[in-house]
Amino acid sequence: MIRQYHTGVNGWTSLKNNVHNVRIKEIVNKYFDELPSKFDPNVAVQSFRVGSESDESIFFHILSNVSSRQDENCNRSEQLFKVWNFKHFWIWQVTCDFGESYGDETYYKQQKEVNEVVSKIDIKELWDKGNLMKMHDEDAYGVLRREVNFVGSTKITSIVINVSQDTRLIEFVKDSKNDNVQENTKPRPVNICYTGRLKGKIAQEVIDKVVRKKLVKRRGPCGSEMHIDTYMGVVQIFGNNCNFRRITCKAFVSKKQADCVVEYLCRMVSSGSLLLCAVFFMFCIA
Amino acid sequence: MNVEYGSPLVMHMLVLHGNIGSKIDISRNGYIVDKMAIEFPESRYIAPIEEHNIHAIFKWECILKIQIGDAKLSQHAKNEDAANFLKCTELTVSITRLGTCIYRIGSKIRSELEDTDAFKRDINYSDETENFIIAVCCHIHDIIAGF
Repeated sequence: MIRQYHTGVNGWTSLKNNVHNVRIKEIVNKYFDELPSKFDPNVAVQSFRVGSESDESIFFHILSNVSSRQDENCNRSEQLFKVWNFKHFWIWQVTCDFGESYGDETYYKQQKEVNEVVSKIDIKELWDKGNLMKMHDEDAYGVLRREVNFVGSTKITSIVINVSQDTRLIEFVKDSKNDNVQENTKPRPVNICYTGRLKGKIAQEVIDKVVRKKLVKRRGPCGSEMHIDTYMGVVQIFGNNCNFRRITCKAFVSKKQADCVVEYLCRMVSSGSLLLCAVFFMFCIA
Repeated sequence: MNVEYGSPLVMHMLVLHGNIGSKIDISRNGYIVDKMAIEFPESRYIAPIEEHNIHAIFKWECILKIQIGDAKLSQHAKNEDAANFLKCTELTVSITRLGTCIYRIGSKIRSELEDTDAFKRDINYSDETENFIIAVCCHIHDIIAGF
């Protein structure tokens, strides 16, 4: 992805998503090592090329030309060039993709030079020689069916990124999420929350004792009276209501574990035993 | 005086996480939408919004509508106590294009009902009920993964 740092804006921002963004992200990920990591947007137009080692060429053009961040955008156009070899000329097929849909195919005829050898040609260089003559589709159709004459193809992609004039820094960032397909795993619980009620009075001295031992925090979130962080999950005990207290267990992975913690908690607060407190300490995140 | 359960723990939210192990076509006309429509016609599909990174979502208003192969757990789900709970339990599955599946199970039981005695008599959330819910998610997972 591409991210920008603007004057007067805290943190990085990114371009608004449009039909080109997914493809541009793929290109950035694929050619990340060839891209400049940072560059100065004070220069009005910056262009660079990547993919020179592959069968495609990608040209980036970064223009600091829009007045506000809301107007920032990106555009992409791709041209696929296919070439066929004949005795005295080359036949070209050019297909354009402007993001929304593929355009029509266009055919060209190119006169061959005397000593041109198929095995040594660079398709990009060959196209750059020019001297192309547009052909009617019907004329090209017959010869292009001959696969034996097919030489190869190359793709040229042009990406134009228009950024705000107050942009101070632009960075290409590799999106590692796109590479990470995780191994097949069965669904397993990662977060279960339970609600129940406790019956019986918890003596104030017991609450003071466990608070002093730092097993329990007073006044936890969500209005709870006691809050206990254990390695198996979080337990919250709410205020006394006619000898009943609402209890919630959050971030557990099974009912057995939640029951285990709550039952132990009940025994501990019932007896006020220091030994049980000490054992319960092993459950808790200090 | 002893402190003990006044009413046992009842699940109100359960989240499971799993992976298909491959990329997946989650678009409106894609493979997984067709597959789920055939296998689970009662599910409701909510299309992904790529620009906002919103996943493909399938929803079941009642988890009991999903049939699983495990006879013992299926039988348990038909028991009155478990069924009372499960019929108020909905399931939402979100699937990413990288094959990650998040299963969210939530109880539609409203908190004001939880304090009524009639409700407490009817409700029974046991380990078997939890195992049934997990088995349902594993069953859906297998279908998505194409096993």
